Amino acid sequence: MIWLLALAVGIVLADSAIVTLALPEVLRDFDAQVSGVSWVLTAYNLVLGLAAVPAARGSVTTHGAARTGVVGAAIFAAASAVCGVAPDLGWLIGARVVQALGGAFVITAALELLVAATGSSRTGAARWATAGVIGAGIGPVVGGLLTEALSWRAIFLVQVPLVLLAIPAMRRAADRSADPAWAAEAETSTHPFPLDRTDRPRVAANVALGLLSAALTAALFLLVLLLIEGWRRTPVAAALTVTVIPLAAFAAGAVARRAQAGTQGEAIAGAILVAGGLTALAILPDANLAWTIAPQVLVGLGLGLTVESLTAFALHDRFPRALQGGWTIAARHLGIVVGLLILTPLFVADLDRAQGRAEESITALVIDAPIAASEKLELAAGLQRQLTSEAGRVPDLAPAFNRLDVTPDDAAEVAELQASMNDQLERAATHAFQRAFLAGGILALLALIPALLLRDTARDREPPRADPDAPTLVRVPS
Amino acid sequence: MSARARTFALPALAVVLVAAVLGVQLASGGTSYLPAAAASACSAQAPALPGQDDLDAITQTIVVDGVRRAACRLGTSRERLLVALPSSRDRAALARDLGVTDAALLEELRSGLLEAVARLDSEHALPPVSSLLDDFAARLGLPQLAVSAIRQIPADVVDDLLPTGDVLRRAVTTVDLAKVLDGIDDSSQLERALAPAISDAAIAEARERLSERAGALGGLLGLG
Repeated sequence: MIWLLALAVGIVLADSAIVTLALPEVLRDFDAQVSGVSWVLTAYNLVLGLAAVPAARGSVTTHGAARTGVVGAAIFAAASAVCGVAPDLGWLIGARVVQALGGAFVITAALELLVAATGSSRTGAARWATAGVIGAGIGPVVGGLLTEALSWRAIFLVQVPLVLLAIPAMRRAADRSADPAWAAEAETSTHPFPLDRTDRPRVAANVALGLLSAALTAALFLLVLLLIEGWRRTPVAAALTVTVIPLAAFAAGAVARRAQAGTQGEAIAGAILVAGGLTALAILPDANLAWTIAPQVLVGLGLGLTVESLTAFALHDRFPRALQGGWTIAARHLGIVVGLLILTPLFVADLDRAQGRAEESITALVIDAPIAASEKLELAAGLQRQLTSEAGRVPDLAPAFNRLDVTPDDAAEVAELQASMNDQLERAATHAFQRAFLAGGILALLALIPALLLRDTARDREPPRADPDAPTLVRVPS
Repeated sequence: MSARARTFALPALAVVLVAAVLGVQLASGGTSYLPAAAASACSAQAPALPGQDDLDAITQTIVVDGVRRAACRLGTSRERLLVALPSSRDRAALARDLGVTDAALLEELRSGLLEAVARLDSEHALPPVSSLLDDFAARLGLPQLAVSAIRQIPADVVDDLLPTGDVLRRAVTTVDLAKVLDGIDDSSQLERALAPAISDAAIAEARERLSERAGALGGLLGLG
């Protein structure tokens, strides 16, 4: 039951980035532009961010959470199915909006239901936050693998049964909380929250979450686009490469436990690591995948140190839980939207400039190549065709070379020429992402400001204590 | 370790990790992994002189050097000019950017090509026409009878009547560059645009020289 609820949380949050690796294929399928396709991500995160807090209002009690969770899961599953069969980009974006709406109900309800299912507000909130971090971390990897093995449509279709599996788990969690024997043992029964009490959200923690989410968008969205579109790696290669981020995020948990730095220390360290990782991605020494590993480790460690810890801090001893959880979701996903809105135009403009520069460097190589004039003209025409047919994207030059009728004398020179051109394209593509990565790094550094305002010590990592003197406490109605 | 020290130990470790990664990347050339910038056309070296027997290389040298010289005069890179030349729309856009008309841009290209021909001529890098007759005949599609007839003419007479540099200069001066550029992607269309220009230039050059010779001979015989 707990795992099914956590799976639903993971899927809803994975969806914020799961299509990242599939975007290039969506781009080609719908013959769209990068700025248009980025709305597949932006629309989902925007609606999830805006709907999270209102959706949470129906989930402040366990039974309310079960009702809204079931409705949300049904909406999410139906919208996922529509995404999977969308005939054009408009349908896909529209279905993503509905999917996010359903997701907002699922995610906020799941927090209350996980608390009910685990019988502990701390454990339930931790499971909820961890499931979200895992979902967001491995989402792009799973999306990439499904895209390569089947199609980008498979990403949405496989979610339908998985999310529907959570519906009976939601009902059982609500039934369990109503069982007096279970409630007597569960921590929630001894620490009920007042229905008329609405705590203010922890602003600093939520702002830090938002800024770090914006920066992490840069890491995932831009890195994946760089690998697939810029360096022309397969989605599987890109998926395996970006696996480093979730792996490092898991490792960060062990680091955090050992360091016992508290939420503030973890948030500051995490912001520095994410900013450093993004800066490192902006200054890659070449297009070898190995160079992306160390920067990704930094980003992954930063992700692992911050998101879970800040989420737990934002939820700690704040009621109603679902509403506080809604604020963290709103902060994270609106942060992602801000990241996309800042970074996408920046990188699209730079990609456009880089294309002109790559075209000039390729022209220089053709001019100076020691091959026959007739071969040069044929090659130039072929390259022009490739550039035109893949307008707005980094072109694949191989077809232009494959069509070339090369004399044996020129074969070696032509092969060298092709390698030099691909090198120039990779250089231009890498350069095109530089400013966007740096902008992401600045967003991560900005997260240091709210992180420094966090008032906590390692004590905040201890379980919450009940307030025995609270006169208005009422039992959560079952 | 105090709680405060624990709070700041982790950020300190993060700073060290970040510094190590950035240090390695900077030391490995992280800031210089950039696409090659187009060299200034004026400072770029003129292409090396080709061998006289390599017509293909001679053609390339004239075009590359001509474009380089035109780009230098227009204040742009040879790459940008060359990328824009095949498309009339890109040509017009480049001309607008450079503050000249489309026609003026083509005239600068023509001047560049003429200078390139003059350079090869002055360096004696152009082959005599007599050595190119078979190649020209094949390219121009001359009938076999005409080719055989031309072969009967002594080589020094042919070279005297048709100096390669002068024929090329005349061809470059008269050719419709816009038409040549519009057909540059299609080798047969390019051939159709270039062949008449070269043959017309050769005929005009021969006619002019023959009439000069006839005039001089007439003068010698007192017929002038």
